[in-house]
Amino acid sequence: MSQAEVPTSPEAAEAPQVRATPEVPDWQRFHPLTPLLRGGIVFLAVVAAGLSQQTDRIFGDGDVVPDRRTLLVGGGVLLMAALGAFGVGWLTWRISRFRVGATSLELHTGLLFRQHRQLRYDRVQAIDVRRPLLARLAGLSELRLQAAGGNESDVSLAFLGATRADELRAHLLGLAGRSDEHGGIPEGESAQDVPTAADGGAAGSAATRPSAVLLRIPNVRLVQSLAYSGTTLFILLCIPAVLLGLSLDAGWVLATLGPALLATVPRQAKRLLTEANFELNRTDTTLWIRHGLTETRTSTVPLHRIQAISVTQPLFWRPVGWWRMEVNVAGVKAEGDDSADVIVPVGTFAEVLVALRAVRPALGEAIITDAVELAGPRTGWVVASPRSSWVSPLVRQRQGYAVSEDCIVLRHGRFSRTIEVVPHARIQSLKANQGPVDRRLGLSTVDLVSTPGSIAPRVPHLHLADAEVLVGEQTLRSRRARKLSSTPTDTA
Amino acid sequence: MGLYADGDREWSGVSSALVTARLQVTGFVCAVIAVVITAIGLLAWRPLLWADLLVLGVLGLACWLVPRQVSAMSYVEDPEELLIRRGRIFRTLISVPYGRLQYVDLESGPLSRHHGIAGLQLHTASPNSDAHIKGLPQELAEELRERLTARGESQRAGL
Repeated sequence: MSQAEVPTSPEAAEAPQVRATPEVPDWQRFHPLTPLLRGGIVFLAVVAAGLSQQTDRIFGDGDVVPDRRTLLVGGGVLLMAALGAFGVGWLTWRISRFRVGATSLELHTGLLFRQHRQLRYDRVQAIDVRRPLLARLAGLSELRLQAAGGNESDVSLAFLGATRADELRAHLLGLAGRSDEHGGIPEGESAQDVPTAADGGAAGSAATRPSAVLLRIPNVRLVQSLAYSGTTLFILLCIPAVLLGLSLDAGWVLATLGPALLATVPRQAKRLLTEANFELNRTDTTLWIRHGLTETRTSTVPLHRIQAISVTQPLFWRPVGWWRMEVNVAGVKAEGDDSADVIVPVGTFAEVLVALRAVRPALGEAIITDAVELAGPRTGWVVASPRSSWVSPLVRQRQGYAVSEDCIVLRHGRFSRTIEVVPHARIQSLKANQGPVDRRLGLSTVDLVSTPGSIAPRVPHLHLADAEVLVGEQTLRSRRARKLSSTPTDTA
Repeated sequence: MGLYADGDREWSGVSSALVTARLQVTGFVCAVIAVVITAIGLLAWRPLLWADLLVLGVLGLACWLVPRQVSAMSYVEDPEELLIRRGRIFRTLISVPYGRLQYVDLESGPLSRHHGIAGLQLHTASPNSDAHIKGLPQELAEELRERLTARGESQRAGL
């Protein structure tokens, strides 16, 4: 509407046609402590860098003691760097501002390279509230809006007061969390969606903070689950080997195992840090995920933005019966951010079913239980062709799919088991592949292409006729589901 | 047996100019490599000249393979999906619903412009869709792009 074209100056904001909208969007600044926090991070980094150089020197040659002058110069440089960082941070803060418009959020940033960014609400995939350690101490939060199209298209509002961030999130969710999918959601619930969709401006039921916790993962179990893993086994075997190697003066042991340890230990530690204090929750239209030990993070994902779901059980978790549940949300999978899309880091089968019911209410439990327990073509399951048995002798009977009213369910794996659930309405495209071996055997593999993420749904080695049926029927199912889900006002 | 076969659809192929364009590129690359090998072989190490045969072999393979690959590329416009087939040895069939199209790119480099052909790259929310049609006659490519974009708008579904 009108304010989209006005690069607002204060006078323009007074213009009558703008006043007609209920809320005159104002440019807002971030919290005044922002430069301090940002500068603080840079300062800490500088200090850490300086210290690490000193330790290098101390550990390197014990006899070289830094004299007074180097200390003074070093201190001066540190101070200058810190002041510079503060200065830049302050100026950046002065320039940065954002505005909550009627259809989009606008953000102005950049000191040297000005950036004006606009994010339409209907493109918002998920909203995160992050509290890094320092910000947490200062009572501030970062609000991050995830958009489809990768990391660069995210909009980060840092930092805001904690209550302000929560208010703004509620408001934005009201604007963005409109469900567009009606197929499969029980009548009662879609009826509740309607008011939210109708009064787009108000913080509807999607935005209100859920009262009770749906799932809470005990930290003890998380630690245990990390211990029951091949990675931990590897680390446990590596450490004595390295120690032994060091004591026997065999440098090659450290040279070979050291890098592997350096790669795996931080990963496990990071999982522990990010997945601790895990809580899962749901309102009528959104999923709330809270987690993190030092940096707490609260992600809110509108349910209809979930593109695919996977439930996996690594081999080491089988004796204890634990499962892990992840989802694909367009644009959310950030590089090196393993837990951005975790719904249940480690849960019992019952807990996973609770989470699944929260995400896909219409999906029956029977089909999931079948997917876990069964092998072979029974009760509606289509499995890989017997001709593929010399290609994958052990898992052949497990690899297959079944169809429910609103989803297609895939299962894989004999020893470590995986179930993937893809809503018909969320399949981006279908792809059938056939390599030379497949061709000789009359097989074909079908990909149900989903948005980028940890899940890449694939039905391998189907009999050619079965693959044809899958592609043909899935095309029709997706057609129908898309028609049910498309609303008059288009989304994304 | 119909998944990769024609069935009852009218599949449209792509222009055979793509064969020429691709072979020209391959030929050029092979020629450069052959010249370098020959130069080094003559100056430094005679036995290296045998590698020229290898290059010749690659060129021969390309001459055999490329026409087959190109003739395997075809597409058909269904009421709600675009179907694309490609590949001889590794066969692929892609079905992209118009409603899932984010945007459609028309690509043509200097060489393909010279041959009067262009490629279409279809973007969905996932790069794994990997849906592209190469070697369409330029006018047809533009028409098709218009058509696809229009259908994408009218049948648009959320992500």
